[in-house]
Amino acid sequence: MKQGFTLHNALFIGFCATLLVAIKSMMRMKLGLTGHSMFLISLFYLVCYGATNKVGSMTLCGLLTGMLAMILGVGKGGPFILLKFALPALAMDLVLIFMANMFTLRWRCILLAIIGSIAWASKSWIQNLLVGMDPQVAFIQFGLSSVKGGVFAIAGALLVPVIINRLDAHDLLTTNKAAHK
Amino acid sequence: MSKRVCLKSDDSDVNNLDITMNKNLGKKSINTLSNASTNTSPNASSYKARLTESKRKRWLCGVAIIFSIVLSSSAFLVTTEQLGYLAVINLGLMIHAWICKARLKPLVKLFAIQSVITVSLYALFYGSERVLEALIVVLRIILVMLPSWWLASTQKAHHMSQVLCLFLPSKWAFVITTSIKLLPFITQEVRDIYHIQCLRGARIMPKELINPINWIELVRCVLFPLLIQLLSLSKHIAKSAQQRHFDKHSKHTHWPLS
Repeated sequence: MKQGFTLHNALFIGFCATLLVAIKSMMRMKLGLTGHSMFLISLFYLVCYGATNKVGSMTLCGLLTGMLAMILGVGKGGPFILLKFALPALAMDLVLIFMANMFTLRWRCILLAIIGSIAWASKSWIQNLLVGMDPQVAFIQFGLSSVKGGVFAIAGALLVPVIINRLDAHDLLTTNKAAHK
Repeated sequence: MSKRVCLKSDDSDVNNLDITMNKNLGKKSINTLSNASTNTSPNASSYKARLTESKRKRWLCGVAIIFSIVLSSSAFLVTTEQLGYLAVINLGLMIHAWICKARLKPLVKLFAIQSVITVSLYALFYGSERVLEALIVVLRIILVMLPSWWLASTQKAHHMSQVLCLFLPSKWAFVITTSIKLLPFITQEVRDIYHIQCLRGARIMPKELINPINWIELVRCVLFPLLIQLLSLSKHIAKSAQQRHFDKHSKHTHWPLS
């Protein structure tokens, strides 16, 4: 973690996390749609992955987002918000290890977004089961949130290849080889 | 020169920079600095007092974080009979947060949404028999959320970041503090880009955003330029930090009274 990311990449991941928290705090409770936060989560996590091109960047972004949300008190704050942001990122990174160069960037992003939304919904599923909710009711709530979150996450993922192309056009992306030189 | 303070790498660097500063400022400024150094005794005592106060608040914040984790976790673990004690403690926290002028509205809204969804689902599957069970489940969910909300509303951001920085590597602590410091800048940048794009005639005014088709335009006109701006900003900050030997030393000095 210490040597893997350059300061430039680390700062970009930090800024993405800050922007995610800032936008989330701006549109807090205004939409009233379950899963709309998955749009921002998948978009920024995947932009981090696209810009740094490294496994682990999404987990770092997730952890930083959770910490910043905890510090700034966004989304009810507290230590559990860390899990909410870190869990989808961790799941996406774990899946990325197995499919690093398997598909085109667009399809990779879509698959990662679906995985992320399932992990995001499973956090509240586990929480509901732990508080003693009926498994059937908890499963239906899990299914509904994964579908709603999944739709928003795919919408976010579809924007990522366009953003990466735009950043590349501005000559702002450094490949790993160049970064380590 | 004024920007160097946050990126001091070690004492020798600080001395070098001070010497350079004195050379640049000339004799007049040297006199001013020497006068200031002779009058440091009251400043030193106030500095010590502030340092002690800062440390005390940091410890309090650390305890508050641990307390909220324990309280949130116990909402999962305690039996239904013991839930009342937990509710009383949480009520105390709620009153404390209310005295600290916290906003109760998000919590009430969450409670209302959770109650409606869970109770209606229980009623749909099991009729009115298990409504009480559903209400207990909702209460537990609220008791999980409430300590976190209390923590966020009563503790200051910089104390929490100081506690987090205790167990983070220095590079990531730097990233977090830089991100928090730049948050007003980023928010202002979002506003500026949004207003400029509105003046250009983009269909992203609040009324036009009711139509979901215009959301794509919002992303294209505001988010894309913002990400480009952020990536170039991170490049500049990384370069300027490295020019101040940020990566050269493993040990960094911090200004304690943020």
